[in-house]
Amino acid sequence: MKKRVIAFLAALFISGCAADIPPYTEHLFAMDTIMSITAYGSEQAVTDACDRIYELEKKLSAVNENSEIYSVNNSGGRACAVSDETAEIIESALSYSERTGGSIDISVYPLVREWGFTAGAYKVPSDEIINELKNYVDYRNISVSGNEITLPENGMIDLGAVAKGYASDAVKAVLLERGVTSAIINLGGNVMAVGSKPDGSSWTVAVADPYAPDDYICTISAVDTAVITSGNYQRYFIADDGTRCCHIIDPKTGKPADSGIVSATIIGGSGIMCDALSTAVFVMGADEAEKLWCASEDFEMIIITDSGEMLITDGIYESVNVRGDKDIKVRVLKR
Amino acid sequence: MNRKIIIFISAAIVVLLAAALFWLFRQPQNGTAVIKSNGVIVKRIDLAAADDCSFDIDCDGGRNTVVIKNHAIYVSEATCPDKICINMGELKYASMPIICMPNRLEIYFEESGAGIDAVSK
Repeated sequence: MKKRVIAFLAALFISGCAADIPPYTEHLFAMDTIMSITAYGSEQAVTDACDRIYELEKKLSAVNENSEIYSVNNSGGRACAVSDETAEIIESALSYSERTGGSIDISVYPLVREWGFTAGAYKVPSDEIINELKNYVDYRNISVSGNEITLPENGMIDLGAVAKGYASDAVKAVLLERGVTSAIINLGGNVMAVGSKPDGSSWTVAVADPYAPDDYICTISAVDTAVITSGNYQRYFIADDGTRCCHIIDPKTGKPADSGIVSATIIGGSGIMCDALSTAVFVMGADEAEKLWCASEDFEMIIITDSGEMLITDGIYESVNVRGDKDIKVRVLKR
Repeated sequence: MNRKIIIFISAAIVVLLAAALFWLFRQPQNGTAVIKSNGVIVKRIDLAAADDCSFDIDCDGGRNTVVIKNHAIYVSEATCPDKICINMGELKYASMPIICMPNRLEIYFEESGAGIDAVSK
C-alpha cells in the first residue's frame, strides 16, 4: 500500500512538472511538402531544427540548380564532389537498395520525371520510352568513392525516398543536442517521435486510411521511434484507361508500383531506414516484405493490401489500436 | 453481487470508455479553422457559428476554392495538378490539416486536439 501511495505521488509530481514544460511548434514548407516540429522546452531548438531542414533541402533537392544532387545529375558521367553528408546519405540509400534487392533505387529518377511526378505534368510514357529509360536505372552503377559520386552518362538520382527520413534523424539530433527530450516531428507524414510526452506517456501516431485519406485507420503508441508510411493514395493520377498511377515507380518495371499494397508503414529507430523500407516494401509486395521482416530485427511494419487486409508484425501488434468501425481484416505476422 | 449485473456493469464501462476515446480522438470537429496562404493567416473561421459559403484563396497564380457546409470545411476546386487538397475531404482532425503544396495553402484547426499527435501517411 505504501509503495502504491509513493508511486501515485511520484506520477502526480511528474505530471505536475510536465505541465510546466511549454511546447513550441513551427510549420514550414520544405522538400516539396509541409512539415511541423513540436518540441517541449526550447523554442531555439525548434528554430535550429527548421534551419537544419532548409540546409538539407538545399543540398538534396533534385530540381534546385544549386543543389549537390543537381550537380551530380548534370556531371555527364564524370565524378562529382559532394559534401561528406550527401555522400553518406547516398551510400546509405544504396545499402537499402542492396538489402531489398533493388526495390528502392535512387537511380529511378529519369522514369519518375518521365511519368511527370516531378513537375506535376502527369502522363503515361510509351513502352519504348520506358524501356529506353530503364537502361539508366540500376543502383549498382552508382559509384561512391570518398565524397565523389559518379553516375553513368544520362543516369540521374533522386533522394526523395530517403531525404525526409534522413531529415527526421537530423532534426532529432539537433533537438537532442539542444537538450530537448520530448518532441514530435512530422515531415509531410514522415513521423519521428522523440522520447515520450513530457508526462511520460506515449505519443499517439495515427496511420492514414488509404481508402479514406481524410481519416485514419489505426493508431500506434510510439516512444522514441520513427513511423513512416508509403502509399498510393497521396500522389497519383488516373490514366485515360482508368488505371490509378501512383508516384512510386517500380525500378524493375519502370511503371507505378502495383504490388497489391496500398499502404506500407515501417516503425523503427532510424528515420532513413523507415523511409527507404516503406518505399521498398510498397514496391516488393506483402510476401517479399514478410520475408524481409523475418530476416530483420530492426523494424516492424503495418501493411494494408488492396484486398482490405491489414498485416501487422507481432513486435508492434500490442501497440496498435485498429479502429473498430473500419472494414478491415487484421492478420498478425509472426516469425 | 449477481454475475449478470457485474457483466452488465463491465459492458457499460467498456462502451462508455470506447465512446470517450472516440470523442477524444475526433475532437475538435467544429472548432476554429485557420486558413494560411503562403505562411500568412488569411482567415480564422469559427465553424460552429459559420454559415454555408464558399470563397477563393489565390496565391502565386494558383487558386483553391474553399467551401464551408454544415459547419465543416473542405477544398472543392483547385488549380494544382495533384488535387491532394480536394482528396483530403473535410477537415476532421487537428493533426490532419488540409494542405495544398503547389498553392501553399494550409487549413487546420486552431485547437491542438488531445487525441492524435501526428498522422503518418
